[in-house]
Amino acid sequence: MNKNRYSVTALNIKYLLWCGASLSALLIILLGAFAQNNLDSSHSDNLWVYHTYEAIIDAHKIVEQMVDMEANQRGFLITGQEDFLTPFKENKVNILKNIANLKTTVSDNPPQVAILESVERKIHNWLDTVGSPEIDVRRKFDRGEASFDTVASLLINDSGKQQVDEIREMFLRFLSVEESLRVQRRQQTLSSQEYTEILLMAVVALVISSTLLIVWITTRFILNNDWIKSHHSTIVKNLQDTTTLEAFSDVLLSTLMPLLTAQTATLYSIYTDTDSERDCHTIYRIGAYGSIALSKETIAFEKGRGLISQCFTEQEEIKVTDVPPAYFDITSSLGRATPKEVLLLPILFDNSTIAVLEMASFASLPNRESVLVHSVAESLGIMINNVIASVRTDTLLEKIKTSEERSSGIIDGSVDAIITIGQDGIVQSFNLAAENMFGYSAVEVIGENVKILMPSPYRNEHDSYLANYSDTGEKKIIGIGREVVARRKDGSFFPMDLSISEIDLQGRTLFGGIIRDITARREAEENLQQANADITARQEAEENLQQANAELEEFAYRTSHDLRSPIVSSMRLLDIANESMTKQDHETAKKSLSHAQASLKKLDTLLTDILALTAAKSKTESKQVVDIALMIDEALLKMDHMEGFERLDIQKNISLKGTFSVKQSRLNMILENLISNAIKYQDASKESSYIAISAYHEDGNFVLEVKDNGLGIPENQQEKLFSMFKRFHPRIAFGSGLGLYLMKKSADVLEGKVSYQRHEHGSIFRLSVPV
Amino acid sequence: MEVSCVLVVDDSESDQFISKLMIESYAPNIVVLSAYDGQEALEMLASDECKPDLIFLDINMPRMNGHEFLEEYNKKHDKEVVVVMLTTSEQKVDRERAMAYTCVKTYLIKPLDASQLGAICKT
Repeated sequence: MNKNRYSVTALNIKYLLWCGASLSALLIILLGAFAQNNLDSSHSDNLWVYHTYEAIIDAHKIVEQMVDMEANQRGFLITGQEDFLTPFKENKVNILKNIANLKTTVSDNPPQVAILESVERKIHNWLDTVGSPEIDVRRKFDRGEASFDTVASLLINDSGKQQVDEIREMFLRFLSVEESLRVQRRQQTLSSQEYTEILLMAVVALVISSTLLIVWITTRFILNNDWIKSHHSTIVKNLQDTTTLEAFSDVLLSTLMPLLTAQTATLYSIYTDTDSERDCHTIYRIGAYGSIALSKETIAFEKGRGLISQCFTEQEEIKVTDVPPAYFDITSSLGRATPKEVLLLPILFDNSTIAVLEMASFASLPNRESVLVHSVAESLGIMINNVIASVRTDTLLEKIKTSEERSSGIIDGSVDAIITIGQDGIVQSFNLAAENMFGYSAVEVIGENVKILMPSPYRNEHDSYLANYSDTGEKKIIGIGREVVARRKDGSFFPMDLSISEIDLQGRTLFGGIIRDITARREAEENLQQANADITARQEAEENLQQANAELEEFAYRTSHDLRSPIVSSMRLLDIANESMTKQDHETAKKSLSHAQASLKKLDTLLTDILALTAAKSKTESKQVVDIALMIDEALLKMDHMEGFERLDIQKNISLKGTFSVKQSRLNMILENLISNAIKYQDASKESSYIAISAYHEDGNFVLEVKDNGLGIPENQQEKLFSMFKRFHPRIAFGSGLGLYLMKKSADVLEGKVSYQRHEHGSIFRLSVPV
Repeated sequence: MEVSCVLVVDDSESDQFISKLMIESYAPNIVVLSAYDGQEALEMLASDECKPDLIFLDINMPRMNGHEFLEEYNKKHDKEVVVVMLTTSEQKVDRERAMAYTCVKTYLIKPLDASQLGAICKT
């Protein structure tokens, strides 16, 4: 089945008009040809009539010439004048020529030719027997060779007259034949013309009637086409506004059906269930017109079972003309009847059936209704598909809306402020958390430039940031995030963690900012920093403690040795002394006692230093203004009993301005230690020894310097200089090895430092304390 | 072991006195040399005059203590000379550190007495 059969365009008016015009043209051409033919025939008939006239005229001329010739001959016979013989001779020649011509003219008629031949013979006979011999007789008379009587007898007898009359009679016969022919031919010509006229009239009538027919058909066609087209477009237009399949069906059937002679119609949509195990499709009754079964049903059909399914599967129209009574009834309140015709039309889209239109009627649909139904059915496919797509889109939109509402819920429910802005910096959205955070309501902010949420200088520079990003695409914060300061509605500031992402929304660029108020975090961080600082301090304290512990361990170790050593020695020495006394070895006993005494003295010195150290460590002291010069003098006075003091040249150089506050006892301890060391470790081998004591300011520090030309500290020992229990000149003088250690500890307490510098002839010790 | 010369390295004059007295009472012909710290002992050993058979070594001394002395001594000298630690330190670390040297034979706690000396000389 050719589905284009029902196309409106197939009934082409051009085609019809062309056919009609061609037919008319053909008739006219035929008519022309026929007329031409008739004219030719008439012309030929006329020629024959003319031909007959010609023969008659020629025949009359010959008769005349014959009579003239005889008259001239007789004239000569009577007169003997040669003048009569000239026309005689001319006529003799002409008459024979004319007879020959006439013979040619009537050559189509042998009986006439035969008459002319016998005429010819008679003339020759006359000439031979009468004409020429009588002329010769007359001429002989004139020459005197014949008698007058001979000539007179010729004239009286007139023997030629009989022959001439015969010839004339023969011509009359000839002429009568020709005359009858003329009449016959003339009649023939007239009847032919009459026939042509009748035929022409008939053909003209035919052309006129066929043209009228064409016009009628064309008009009918145009009207039908207009009817189809206008209803088709109305239906399509009405259907375009529908959004659901049910509405679509209602509009379609209620608009289409009143135009048709059909009584009921139903529109089914069809879904192929590919998931089903069986090869099934679901048929869904979308809507009906004039049908009793209005309930919307969904029925699963196996493919090819049932007419609707068949129609669906084959994608072809099914027309049932002899509907069995049990199949289907058209009902009304008056009763019911079986329809004459049931028509099922597949509605196709994209080569698959998406719906079926079923119609029933008591009569076959007239052609234009059929064309309308088919043309509408052809348009339905894409429209139903559109409606399905639209329904699907609506469902999807509903889902999206729900999802948007949900996401909006998420955004509003977010603890982080979420703000979106356009490329122009204008706020597009402002969530609940943002409202709480900034103190603005969304209504106040949306439509405003986002910079109102910023303090200076960002407030003034934000537009240029956006422009810069738009120009260069260089991301300074997008996708990175940073901590910045935000401004609340009330003008107060808070620290925030800002992360910005770029959102491409249907070709529009938005920037989404997620903001977290980090005031609490900042506080926590500060607390943490404080805690860290505390920890650091504690660690330092611990380190100090560890160091102190290490020192204490060292101290304990050394004291266990250094304290115990002299005691053990002394005990042994006392034993030895005792034994020596027993042996009367007084010398050894005395030495032993002396050593024991020295050991115990060392012990006493050590204990004194240890006590001093312990006291120094535990002692807390406040700063007080000191007189350095006085302190130096007092220290020197204290040391003047020491061995070798008297040989020392004591130099003092004090250049201090203003007063100086310091923990005095600490400074004094350092000063005394330095001076006593300088005295103890003087180089006795030198001719002159000196101690130079200086006090001065240098780079904001108070400096106390003690310089000597004593023994100095061996270079390899200098690193251990300020450690505990270090002694460098054990044989020169006894020390506990704690002096320099004690000095360093005291310098630490003064927040200063003590340093050693070896010089050419001795040592330089410097105490530097910040003022 | 034939002992003819002993070097006592100790910063305490009292202990030097005791050690010298003990050595002389054990064998009067033994020459007793004295060094007051490790540094001095090394200097003495470097000279040709001093060839001791036995060294008594204290640990706690100024300038160069016993441990430092052993470290330097171990680098420079042949290990023919027997070293005996003679100290008041009963610390385990000191004992282990000293006994790690092959030249160190014995670790004695002060004061030295004649019987200890005899035991050393007989081995």
